[in-house]
Amino acid sequence: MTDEQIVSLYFERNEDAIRQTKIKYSRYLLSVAQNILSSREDAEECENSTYLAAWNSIPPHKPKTLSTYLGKIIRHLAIKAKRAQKANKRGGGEASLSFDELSECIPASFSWEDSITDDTLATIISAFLRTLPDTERRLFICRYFHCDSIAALSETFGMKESRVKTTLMRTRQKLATHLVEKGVLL
Amino acid sequence: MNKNELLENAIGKIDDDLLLDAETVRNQKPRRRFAFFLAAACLTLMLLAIPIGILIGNRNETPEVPIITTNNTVITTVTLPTTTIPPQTTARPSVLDIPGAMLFDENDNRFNLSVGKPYSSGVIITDAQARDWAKRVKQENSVVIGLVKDSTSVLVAEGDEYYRITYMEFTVLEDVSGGHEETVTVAYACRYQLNASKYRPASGYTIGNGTNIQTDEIVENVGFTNDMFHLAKLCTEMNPKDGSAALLLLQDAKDKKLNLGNITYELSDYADYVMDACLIHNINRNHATSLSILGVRMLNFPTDMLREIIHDSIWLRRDPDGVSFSFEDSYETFDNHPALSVTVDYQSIFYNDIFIVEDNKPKLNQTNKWVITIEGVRYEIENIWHYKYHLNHETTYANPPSVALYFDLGPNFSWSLFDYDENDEYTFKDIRIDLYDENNKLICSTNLIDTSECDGYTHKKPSTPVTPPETIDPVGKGIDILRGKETPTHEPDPQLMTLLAMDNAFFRFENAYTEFNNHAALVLSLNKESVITEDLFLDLDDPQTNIGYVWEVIIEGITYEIEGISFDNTSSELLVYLDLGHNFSWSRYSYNENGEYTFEEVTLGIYLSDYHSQPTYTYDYFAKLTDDEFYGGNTHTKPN
Repeated sequence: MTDEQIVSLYFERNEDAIRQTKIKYSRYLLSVAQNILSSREDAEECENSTYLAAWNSIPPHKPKTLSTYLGKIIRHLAIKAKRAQKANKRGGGEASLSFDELSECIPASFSWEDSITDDTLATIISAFLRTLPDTERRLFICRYFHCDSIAALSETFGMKESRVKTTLMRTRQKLATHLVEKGVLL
Repeated sequence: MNKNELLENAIGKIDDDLLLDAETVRNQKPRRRFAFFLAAACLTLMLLAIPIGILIGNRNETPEVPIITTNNTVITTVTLPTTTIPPQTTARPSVLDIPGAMLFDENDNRFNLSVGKPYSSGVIITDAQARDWAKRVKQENSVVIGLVKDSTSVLVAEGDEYYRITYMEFTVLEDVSGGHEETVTVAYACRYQLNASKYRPASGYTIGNGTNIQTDEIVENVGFTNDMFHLAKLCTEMNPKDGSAALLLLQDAKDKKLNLGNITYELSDYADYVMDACLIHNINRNHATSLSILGVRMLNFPTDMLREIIHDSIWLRRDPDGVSFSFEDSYETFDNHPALSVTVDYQSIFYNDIFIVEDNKPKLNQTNKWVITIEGVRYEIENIWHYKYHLNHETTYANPPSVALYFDLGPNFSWSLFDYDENDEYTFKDIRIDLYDENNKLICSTNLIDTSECDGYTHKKPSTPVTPPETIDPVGKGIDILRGKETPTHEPDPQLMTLLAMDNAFFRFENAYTEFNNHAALVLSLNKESVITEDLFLDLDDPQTNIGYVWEVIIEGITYEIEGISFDNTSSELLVYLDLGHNFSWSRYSYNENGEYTFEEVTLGIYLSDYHSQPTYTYDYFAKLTDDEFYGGNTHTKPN
């Protein structure tokens, strides 16, 4: 079933929408959540919450691409769950590693411009990503959006792990420079 | 919202088309895998001639999963895609599948992994015995857990509920009393039949066949970090082949939590991974304290979490409590080389890593390798002369000994390396001891100076000239004291070495490079088209942005962490200048009558991440620069 057909089911308030969504995107959604939460059960909980959120938000939203729409929801829910988990004060899988890497690109002495919002920042980062070569851009997104492990990226992109790490490090450094240039990182 | 959360959230909102593009690549892997597995499965099925109908028959189950709203009303029910879960045909391995015998000695309340080594009661467990035990244990799906005084004092105890561990089965394997009547030693094996799903920390632990262990009944007070570390060390050395991690954790009766050193873990944090758990033994020392040791086997335990736990234990070992030190300006035993004297208190966390104990006396574990880093310069220690065992009091657990070690800093160490002030004083900021096992695995590390607590360690310049050997034969006996001369800590990357060789890379020294405050600099000359250049410096217009996290250069066995890097891209080659820092001195080397010295070992190592956070660290790039077959630049002329 196409995304458009599934979204139509949502608009018709047909509960088959969730079933079809699950059939098509369950594995993808679980992989995103599990990368962040390192727990199958928690990931499944997030997955179900994602369907509920989709059910509640479509309509009025009418996503063109259901995968990215759901991917953003589950990532948000998983991160929220991760932050709430007491266990994760001691780290929580691949997400912690990737977030730690991300935070490395912002020196401790820097701070965000006061009025910056995550929406604005997302726009700036998207623009930055468009300037990158394909591989660098995809590596960045797979690592920091999907929280894929270095080993998984190495396999997916056919690169040595050290090369993956090097490339990601360069991209992070470029991002930091870009954010400073844009005046959002002070 | 802090800045990290803002960034994380923003990443979550990047444009859809970018995500979609990345997803396309990301989804290629599962497809490839699926195709591979499909092909493999088909081939297997054909070979085994298994009727396909069997598989089809299994596809009838379609479990339904309710989607539940927050007020618990079911809004819909979805049917999961059909999956076939193969029956588990292989038996679970034992909880702690240790390739050898783990021996528990009640004389000193310690476990010893004592294959081929004597242990403290005077009984020598031979390698053959241990192997035989391990073999039998494996056959019985059991594990040797202890050596005890007699058959009644361990695990099967006198009516205490805590000891009633009925699911364990014991087998006397062998009597190894060794002629000590009062220390009849027996080895046991035990078998576990546990069910992880029933294992949940609550008021007590329900394990296996329903035995409930009330943790309240365990005596309070936990404080023997030495034991904890010893156990932590044991458990991290285990490497079960099935991908699980076996942990030995100490359970604190007071808070019902699991402890590893001073770090407390809630087992519930890891409940998803707990497959088996088993009470193994308690330690009851002087009737004042008690610990229980819990063997926990984690399936699919994320390696990064395990790494973190191991890292915690190493991090804790950096705690300098219980370790004091001083310098010996000129230590006679070491041919008047300077020495570092380190006193280790029994209560220190270092103790069990450094010593094995025989007859309640510490004996230095000679298999270890020591590296001492002083102000950024690494000295690999060849001579440790001698520990002094403080016998001025009775050495009991309540009144333990302290031990002094003297480390030979070797002929390359010189007080002249440090900038003493007008009062002839210099304050050391960075002295670190790293201890490696025979496989070069970092097992223990401590910073002797905690700059958050003090300004550093102030040393008075020796009033009379001390005479470390002034003439050092670069290939003679003097320098052999430094192990680094022989083999660097890290294995070179043969691929990178090959690439460097093919690319005809060169190096030379700058005696005093103005950009680095006139420090000496190592200059790499790299072909811009070379693979190494492409790999390390993709952006040649701004190579500074492409460097790894830490660069190190090992020159004649001494490691210098590079303090600064600069680049010159104006010529046909890329010149990389590496600041060797203020600790590098040309006076270390003995130039010949022509004022020349030939460097025999100059190597380069690069880490792409902060290696200090790694329990074992290896270079991401490593290249031996000195190789007469390919390189020039080995011979250096003494600066005027």
